[in-house]
Amino acid sequence: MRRAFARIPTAAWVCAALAFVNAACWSLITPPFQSPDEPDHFAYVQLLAENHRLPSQSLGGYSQEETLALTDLRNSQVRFRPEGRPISSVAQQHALQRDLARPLSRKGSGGAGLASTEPPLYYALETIPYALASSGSILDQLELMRLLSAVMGALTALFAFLFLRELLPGARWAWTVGGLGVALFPLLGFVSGVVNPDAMLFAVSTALFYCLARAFHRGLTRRSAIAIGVLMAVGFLTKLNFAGLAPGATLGLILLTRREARTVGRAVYYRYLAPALLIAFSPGILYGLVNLFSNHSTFGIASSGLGSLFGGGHSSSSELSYIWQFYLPRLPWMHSDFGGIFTTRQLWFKYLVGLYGWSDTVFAGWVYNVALIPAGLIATLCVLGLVKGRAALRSRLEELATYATMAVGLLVLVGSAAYLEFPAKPASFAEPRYILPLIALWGGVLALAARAGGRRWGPVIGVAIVVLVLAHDLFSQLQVISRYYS
Amino acid sequence: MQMKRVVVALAVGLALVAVALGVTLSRSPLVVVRANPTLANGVIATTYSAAEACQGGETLPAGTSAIRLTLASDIGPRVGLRVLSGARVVTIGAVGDGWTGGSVTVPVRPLAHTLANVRICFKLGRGAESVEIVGVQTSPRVAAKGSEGEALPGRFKIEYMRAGPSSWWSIAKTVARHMGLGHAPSGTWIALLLLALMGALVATASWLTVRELR
Repeated sequence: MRRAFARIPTAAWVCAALAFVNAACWSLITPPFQSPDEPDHFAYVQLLAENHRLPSQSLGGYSQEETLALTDLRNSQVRFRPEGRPISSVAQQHALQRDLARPLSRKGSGGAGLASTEPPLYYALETIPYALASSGSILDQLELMRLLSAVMGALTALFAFLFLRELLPGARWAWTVGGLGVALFPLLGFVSGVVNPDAMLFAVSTALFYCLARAFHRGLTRRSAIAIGVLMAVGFLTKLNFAGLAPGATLGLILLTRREARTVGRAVYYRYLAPALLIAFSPGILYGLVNLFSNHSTFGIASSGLGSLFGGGHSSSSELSYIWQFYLPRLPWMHSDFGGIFTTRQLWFKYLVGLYGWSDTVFAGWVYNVALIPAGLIATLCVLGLVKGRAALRSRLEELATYATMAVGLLVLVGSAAYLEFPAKPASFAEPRYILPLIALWGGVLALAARAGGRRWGPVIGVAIVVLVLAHDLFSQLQVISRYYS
Repeated sequence: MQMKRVVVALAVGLALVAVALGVTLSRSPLVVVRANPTLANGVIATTYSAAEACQGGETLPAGTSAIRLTLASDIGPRVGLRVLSGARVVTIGAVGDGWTGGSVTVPVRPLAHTLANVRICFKLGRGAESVEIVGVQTSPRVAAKGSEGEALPGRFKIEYMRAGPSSWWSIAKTVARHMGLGHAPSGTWIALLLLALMGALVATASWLTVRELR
């Protein structure tokens, strides 16, 4: 183990440390409970820690302590209301401290809102910082819990760097460009700076991308197959959205095993593949069985989304058309599901550039137009980089097919979940954090863009990319500060 | 040679970021200079398609550079805004589609003088989902009017905004004090810690870039 750690380049550790510091800064900037569903995620952890039970969606609300904290922090007057401000006077602060010093109950009545259907691993881990800070106030507990998310942000950056090392073995300097691009990406900092299972999902997904890339590059071993299986199991236990990545990861395992079988023999199918898949899907099977026997949807949001995709009362072609338009411009024969909205730009690009808080903190409109220029340049350079390396691409088609299936699987899962709310709410899941489990590929895009400049100009392009991401992060933080504290 | 290129590129990039930061912080944040007395109590109308509404009896303060309308939508359509004094359009503005939340801020061309008794008219483009107009129920006589001149069930809340008198630099202390409230740990020193952490982050990222890309 120690030898494995020693082989990790210093630059990877630095990227991880920077991601942690960045997320820690976001945790200080974002007011308590002013991020998507943070009150629900906190309530889940509190239920696990105090009531020693999993939440139920049908049961009531938060603990007395959390309810009072939310009231004193003016939560409902601030979220979704850009004109609303959190507490801003010493008198309000004293009232908050006085209330939180009272002997308030920390036991909830059993519900955790939208988080109730999520699997428990992230929340179980969060009970550790929750317990460590239990002698303090709920705000102390929340901050320490946010720092655990920041550790997960650091792991995301570390694995993204290692993924790039396997993806582009000949371009050491480009690993740093992609690694820093991931570490300083403001949306990663924001989500890893609050209590949200997405932070852990990003880390697990990026680790999975790394393990698959390593296996494609160095060959599958029994150990790496098991590692992939374990990561998939952890993914399933972290957030149901992981189900979107599972088909691609399974395909990768099958392709890797088939390749290995050519040299080692067919025994690898039951020595590598079978145990890996058994481990990978055991939590899913277990969770499905528990839900089945307790009369819940078999796989929660995932089962309802995918269930509707495969004939759950809707026309599959309408749903596929919707999912297409959810991300991409409508094709001529498709019925328009988003009015005049160009979803690629107005939802995904715009929200990736800047959407913080309870999706209520944005930049001025011109920023999104200006951002199209560097984004267009990076996309063009990335395509150039791919064209330059097309010979290598041909020999790595199976690996690329694996990543593509993982990406498409996740996009389809999010799109099909959004379709459940359609047409009442056409884009209820149009939040870029849902596609951030693919952040390793974003690192790849940045590294490829830099590499397009060759050894002579590539590093200069790389510097420009790093500075751009750094500026994006700084101005995003300023935007959030101005929204809440001006 | 490569080292020199990388260092120069980084220095130029960081200098540009510093200039952008300086320019941004020397500007003033938008502040609400006037709000009509309407409360954002509830939804007075919901539209599922392109629509238009006008509300009279408003006062447009001098120097107003943005008008905030209490329109709520997850993916708002394009909003065009006109301010009319009698039949004369005195200023206009627009926001593209894709805005989200419980209000939309429309930048407008500022006027030198305050204008009383103006009408604020907004026009919503075709969108992906419904838009709620938020305000209070009133008598039809004073209510906002729809595109055909029909009275809506009430009036909507409007806020008039312009750049405040102080730059971000000069209100930095206030911002730092606010940042220290409602958090754990609390105190103004949080802002200084944040500054130190971000400074260290920029320095370390720069060092790593030069080290690995040279």
